[in-house]
Amino acid sequence: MTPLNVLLIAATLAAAGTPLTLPATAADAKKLVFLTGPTEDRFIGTFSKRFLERAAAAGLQVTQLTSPFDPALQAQQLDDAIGQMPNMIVLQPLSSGAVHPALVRAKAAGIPVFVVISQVDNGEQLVAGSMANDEARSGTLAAEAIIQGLRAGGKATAKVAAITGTAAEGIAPKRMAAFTKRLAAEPWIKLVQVEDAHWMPAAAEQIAGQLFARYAADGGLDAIYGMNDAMANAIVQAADSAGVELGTGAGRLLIVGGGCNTSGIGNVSEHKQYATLSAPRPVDDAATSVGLITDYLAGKPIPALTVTTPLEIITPNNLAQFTEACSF
Amino acid sequence: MNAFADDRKPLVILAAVVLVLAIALFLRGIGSLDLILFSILQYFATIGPVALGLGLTMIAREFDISVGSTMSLAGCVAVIVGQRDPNLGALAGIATGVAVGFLQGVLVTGLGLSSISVSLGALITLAGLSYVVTGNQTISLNHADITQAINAPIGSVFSVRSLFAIGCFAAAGVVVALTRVGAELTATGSDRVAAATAGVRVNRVVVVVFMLSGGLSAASGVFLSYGLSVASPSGLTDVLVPAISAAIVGGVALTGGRGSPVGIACGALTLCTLNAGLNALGVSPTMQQIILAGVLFTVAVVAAPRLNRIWMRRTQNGGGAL
Repeated sequence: MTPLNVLLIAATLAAAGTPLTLPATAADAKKLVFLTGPTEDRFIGTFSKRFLERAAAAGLQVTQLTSPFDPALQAQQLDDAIGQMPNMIVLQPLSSGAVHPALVRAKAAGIPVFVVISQVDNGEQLVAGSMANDEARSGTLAAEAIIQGLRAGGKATAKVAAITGTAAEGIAPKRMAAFTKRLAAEPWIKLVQVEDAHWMPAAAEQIAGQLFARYAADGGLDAIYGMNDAMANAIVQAADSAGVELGTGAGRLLIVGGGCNTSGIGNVSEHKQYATLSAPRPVDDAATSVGLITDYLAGKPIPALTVTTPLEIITPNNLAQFTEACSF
Repeated sequence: MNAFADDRKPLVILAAVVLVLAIALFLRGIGSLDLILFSILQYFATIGPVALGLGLTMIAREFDISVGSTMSLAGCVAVIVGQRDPNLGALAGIATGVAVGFLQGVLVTGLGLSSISVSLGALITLAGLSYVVTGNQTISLNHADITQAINAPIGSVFSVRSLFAIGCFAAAGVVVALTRVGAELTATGSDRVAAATAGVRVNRVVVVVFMLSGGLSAASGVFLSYGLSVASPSGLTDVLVPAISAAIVGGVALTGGRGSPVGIACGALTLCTLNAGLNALGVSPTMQQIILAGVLFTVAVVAAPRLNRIWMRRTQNGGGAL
């Protein structure tokens, strides 16, 4: 290898060594490693921003590592986090099963783990505490909203479709199971199709367009459940493009979302989306999480599971009280 | 041509990365060296065998971009079959990968198709098959003992997974260096017509490297799924880009005919060390991407033939450093 080559490599590695110049932190500050999905996701980004703000205000030193919904990468990041020997690991589990082995290693290393946003199935013995949405109730309330809207539109029979988040595991199957169970109690409603959009609005828009084409000859769909407001908004856009009329009346399509955000609030106020749900709300949940974590680190007992913001159906009737809280 | 194409140069890069990160970690305050090394080797266990298989196809002047889907499908097959017998599941998963590799190799050599188009088709087909065999569900492996045994530290920093990966590289390194297989592989990638004229059965070489690529990717997928106790049709990780990067940093020439298992191992370890080290330093993942890109870019620049020719000319003329 020539000296020139060595010089070039050293220059690159010097760039890699940039963390050397990071400011030293207070020796007594509690150190957290915060593992999440990608912060470009609106929900995760909002949660992360508020979490970091509140943690800094509480005197916690936080290192955040993100993964693009890659369970193996997150499992590796968990191993890296354990190697740092922090006071606590805060984890948004991207795959309940895939984080299990690393959680066992964290426990063996004596590092407590606090779980946010989602839960680790059968992980009670491995984590210090969890903060998550009541996914079963979320699915049930979405079904309730659809039933309510269809009744308001005077429908005697109805065809319903659902466009879901990643169906393989995690939040989506829990919501979907409850949603399906509630609709099954209404024999006049038929759940005709469930499609997996992997939480991607672009995929939801494409799937919605295909559903409109498929059911057009059969009188069209009466309602679609978009599992969060980003996907519900994509369905609204697809309906606009396809010339499908939105609303509750005859020949109109009713859309229900969830996890209220700006697009959902806007669509509900414009009567393009029948309803959304009041939770999870990242701003409030992040602040509560930091409170629970500081309590734990101070030696105070915390509950094994803290359910996030209470769930309610949001329609134009009660929209005003949620507009500010859902503005992210 | 990749001017990093002997084993010492990837080793120098690896040593430089290790040195810089070690100093940074020392100054920053290291948590647990054993756990960081364990993490590096666990990541190596995931991307190493895939990089080795892919690198071997690249040395033969072919390209297997289906490695990620092969890995995912093999993991799914292994977990489904392995619910009753984990050993049988592992064999089924690896056999799936070998069969996929064999089919690709036969299509490439038998029909004279481009390996890029064949493996692109395989990538899409195998991804779809993963969804079919799992019913679009993440499947848990109900053998906690297996998961624990695969991940259990051996000598503080190793595990069954990482020892398997190291074993693959050692075996490949010995075979390539000490038998005529290495020469035939290099000859096939350098000049296929000349290699055939010299008696090398080039089609057989290509089929075998695709089988190795499929088998190694599948083995990595099986170990990953068993190690995480789940298999997912959407794939548990993105392995293609890290594997290509590892091969390039490890001295494999994109034009074929150059590279070695030892170099690929160094390339994979360089990436794993960078990844784990930067995580330990708390560098954001986006900055990590930029740093990794910087390393790759530097390797590409340093390997540039024109730059090397200029340097050689200057040194031969008794000139100083640039």
